[in-house]
Amino acid sequence: MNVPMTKIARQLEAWLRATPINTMELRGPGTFIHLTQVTDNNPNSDPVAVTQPEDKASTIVRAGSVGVVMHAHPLRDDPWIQIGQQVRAGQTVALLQIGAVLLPVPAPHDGVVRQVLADNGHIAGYGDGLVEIGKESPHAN
Amino acid sequence: MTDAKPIFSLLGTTAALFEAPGPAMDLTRQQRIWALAKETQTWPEVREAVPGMNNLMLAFSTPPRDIAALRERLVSAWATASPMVLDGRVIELPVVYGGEGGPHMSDVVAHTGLSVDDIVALHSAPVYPVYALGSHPGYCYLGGMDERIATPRRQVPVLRIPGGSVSIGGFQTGVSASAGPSGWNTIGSTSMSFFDPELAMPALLQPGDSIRFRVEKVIR
Amino acid sequence: MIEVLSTGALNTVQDLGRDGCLRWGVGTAGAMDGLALAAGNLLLGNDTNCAAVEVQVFPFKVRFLANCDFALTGADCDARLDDTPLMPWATHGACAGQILTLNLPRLGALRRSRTYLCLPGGVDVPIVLNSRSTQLRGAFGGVGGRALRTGDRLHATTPACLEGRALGLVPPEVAMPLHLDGCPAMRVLPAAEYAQYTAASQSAFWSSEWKITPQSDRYGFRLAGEPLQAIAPLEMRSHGIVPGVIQVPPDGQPIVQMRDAQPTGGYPKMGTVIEADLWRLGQMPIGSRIRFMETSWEEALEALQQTQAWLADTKRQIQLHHDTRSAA
Repeated sequence: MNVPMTKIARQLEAWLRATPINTMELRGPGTFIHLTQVTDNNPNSDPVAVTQPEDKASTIVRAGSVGVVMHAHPLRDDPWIQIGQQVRAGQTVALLQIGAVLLPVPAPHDGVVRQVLADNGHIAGYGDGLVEIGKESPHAN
Repeated sequence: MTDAKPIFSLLGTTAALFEAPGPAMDLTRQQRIWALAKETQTWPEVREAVPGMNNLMLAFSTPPRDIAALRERLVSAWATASPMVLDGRVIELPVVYGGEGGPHMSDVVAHTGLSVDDIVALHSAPVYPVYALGSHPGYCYLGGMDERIATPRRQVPVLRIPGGSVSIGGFQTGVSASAGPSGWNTIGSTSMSFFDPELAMPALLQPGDSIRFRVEKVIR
Repeated sequence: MIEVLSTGALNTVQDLGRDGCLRWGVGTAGAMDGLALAAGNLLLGNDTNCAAVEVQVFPFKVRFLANCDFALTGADCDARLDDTPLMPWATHGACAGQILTLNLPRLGALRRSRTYLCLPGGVDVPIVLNSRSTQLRGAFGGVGGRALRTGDRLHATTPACLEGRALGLVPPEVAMPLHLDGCPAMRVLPAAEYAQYTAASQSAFWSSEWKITPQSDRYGFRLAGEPLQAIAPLEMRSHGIVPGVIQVPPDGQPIVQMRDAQPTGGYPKMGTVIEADLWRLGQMPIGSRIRFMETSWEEALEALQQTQAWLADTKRQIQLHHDTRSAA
C-alpha cells in the first residue's frame, strides 16, 4: 500500500495530539519528518469526523483517521446513504475500517446528502473528504 | 485373563477418550479406571479426568502439541494401574414401585415374563456400586443389575420423566436426578436430592459409593 | 439495568461455559457462539468471559431502566433502539426509557441464528459452580436456571457509559471465512467409531451437504442427509462426550452434540467438530446446509490458535482506539 506522505503526516499529527509528546522527528532513507505540537484551543478534537465548512450551504464530512472507506456494513448490501437522501445529525454516513475495528462516521447535522466523495474501498487519509451534506432543512420546500 | 487392547481416540481438540474393552461391565476394571483417573488428574494438560463405564475421558485444559506422547503415557499408566478400592457409603433409597411413578412397569413385565413382585424383588435385592457420574447433574451409572429384569430401551423416548425416576435401560438401572427426557423404562420413583449446586460437594454420590433400593410400597 | 418486555422461549444468560464439573454429570452449557460473546465483551472493555444474554428466539425486546452502554454481536437482527437502526457488531449507548428491539435475523447467505447482548461488566447473576451460564437440566445458573421471561430485570455488573459513539468490529466470519464448495464448513477430527463405517458412508460424510433440521437446538443439531451405515451393529458403553461430537443413532442421521448436550453418550461417534469451529456451527440456522472438512490434529490446534489470536488482536486494537480517544 503506497500512502502519500501528506496522509502519513496528518495521521502522525492526530496521534501526536493524543499524547504529551511535544516534538517528534522521523528519519528514514530519503525521508525526514519533523512535527512540533502547537497548543491551540481547537474544540474539534473528535478523531472520527472532522468537519470544515466549505461554504455556508453544506458541510464536508472528513475522515478523522486513516482507514478504508466502507459504503455499507460488511454484513449488508444496502449502502449507508444515497445522494439526495435526508439524514439526521448523528446518523452514520460512512464507515472507516482500521484493521479489526470499524468506526462509524456520523452526519454533523440534519441535511441532505449532496455528494459521496470517497469510493468504497478507498484508503482514506486523515482529513480526506468522505461525504458532502447540504445544510438545508429536510423539511424545506 | 488379559483384556483386549485399550482404545485411545480423540474428541476434537477438547478431550481424549480411553476405552478399556472387556467382555462385560466389570467392577475391577472400573476400579482401575478410577486409579487411572486419579493419576491423570494430576497431568498439566488435563483439566478433568472423567470416568465413564469402563472408560475415561480426559478433558484438556490445553490440548498437547504431541498427542502421540500423551497416548503413550496414558497406555503406560493404564498398564500399571491397580484397582483402586474406594471406601464408599451405601445410600438407601426408599422406592414406590409401579403406579404413576412407574408408568413402564407393565412393559418390563411383558418383556421379562416376570410378575411385578418378582421384578421388585430382583431389582431391590442387590447393592449397586456407583461406577461413574454423567448424563445430567448428580446422575449415577450403576453396575450390578440382575440380568433377568433387563429390558431394552424404549423405541420412542419419553420427553419428560420427573427427577427420582427409577428406570431400567437394557442391562442397566439408574435413578434420574432431575426432570428430563429418557429412553429407559421407568418402574418406580424415589424422593431424594441427588444434586445441590450450592454445596462444596454438589453431588450426593460419587464413584465408590453404592445404592440400595428399599421397597417402600408396591402399586400393582 | 434492563427489563425484558417480550421474549420467546429459550433466551438465556450465558458466559463461555462451566468447566471442571463433568465429574458430577454437569455439562458445560455456555454460548453457542463463544467468539461473538467474547468479542461483544471486548467491545465494552469486559473480560471475555463476562455473562451476556444469548437471544436465539426473535423478536426480543428490552427496556433500559438506566443510561447504559451495550454491545450487540452475533446474528445481524435489524436491531433498533426506539426507532433508530443499530449497526451490528458494535457498541451503542442507551438512555433510560429507551427500548431495544432485536428483530428477526436478516435473510441472505449470511443469515445467522444467535445474537448476544452484552452489558458493561457483564450481566450480574451469581456464579454457580464456576460459571454464570444457565444449566437448564438441574435448573441452576444464569437467571434461576431457566430461560428469560417477560418482566425479568438484568443488571450490568459495572453500569457505565463510555463516552462517544459506536465502535464496531469486522465480524469474525468476514475476517476468517471457511467454506467448502461455497457451503459454510466446519473442520472435523474423526472419532473412535469412524473406522466402523462403510467406505461409502465415510465418503458421504465428507462430501454431503448436511441440512440442519428443525429438530435442532442448544442440545444438539439433527442433520438430514445420506444415512450413515456401520459395517456391523455397534454396541457402545456410556462414555464422556463434549460439544461438537457427531453421534450416529440407529437411523443413520447424524446429531451434533451442542452446548447443552449431556456430558455422556452411548451412540457411535463419526467425528467431532473442532473446538475452533464450534462458534461457526452454533450460528448456523435451521434449514441451512453445512459441510464437514476433514482435518488433522496439528491443523485443529492451529485453528484454535487463530481464533485466540483474533481475540487478542481485537482486544489490542479496541484498546488502542480507546487510548487514542481518551487522550484527545
